[in-house]
Amino acid sequence: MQATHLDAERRYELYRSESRQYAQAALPQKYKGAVSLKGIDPRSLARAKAWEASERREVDWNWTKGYEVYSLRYPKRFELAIWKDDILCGLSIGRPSYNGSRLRLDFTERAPDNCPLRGQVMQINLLAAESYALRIGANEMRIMHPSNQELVNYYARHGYKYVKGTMDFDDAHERNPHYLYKRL
Amino acid sequence: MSSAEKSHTEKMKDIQDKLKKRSEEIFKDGPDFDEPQYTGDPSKVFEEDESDSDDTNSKQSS
Repeated sequence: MQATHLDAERRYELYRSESRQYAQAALPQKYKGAVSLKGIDPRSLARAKAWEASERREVDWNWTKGYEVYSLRYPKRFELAIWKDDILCGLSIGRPSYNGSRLRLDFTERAPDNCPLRGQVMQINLLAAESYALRIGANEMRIMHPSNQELVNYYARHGYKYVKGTMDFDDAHERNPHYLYKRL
Repeated sequence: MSSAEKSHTEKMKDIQDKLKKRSEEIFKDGPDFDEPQYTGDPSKVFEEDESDSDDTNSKQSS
């Protein structure tokens, strides 16, 4: 690992930690003491491994392998593990653009079974991601590759606007990605 | 406190104030059970960002 890469990892780990604290403090009172926002660590990855066996899971993504590569490749990344007491409720990864002016959320997932924060995981994630974006000085958030109109509608309720890519939701070889964005 | 420290403190305070307001917006209607189970496309997680294409060697490292 190059020294510049290591330096970026250290600096941005501080930003990740600070921004999680800010988001935690801004959460509604009912979450205080029960919900905690953390980085992704071996414990959360081990819990996420169990999601792979769920029949309710709607997506195929290996968090252990995916996070290993993602975290090495992107030292300035956003990462989040949402816990309710001892239950892992959600994981999320994203990264800033090269010039740091925007943060893109690449992938977020809620626990497929018995999630005590169902209906609130994406809300909490949104607040934490926007906190990180503000902390690193970005002025725009992007949520990449929304898979269907329901998801577009969901984020529209939180102030996000949809930008159609080269084609539409099912374009597997799109040249320009589609995404949702919000100015911060 | 130096002016740089004061500036930093004010910036952090500004962020926290913005988050407090944003939190009220996001959570005002309570849980949203239409929330998706996931967001994003796993096959495109590592795609190159548009703005990265001009400097792929140094992206994310500085």
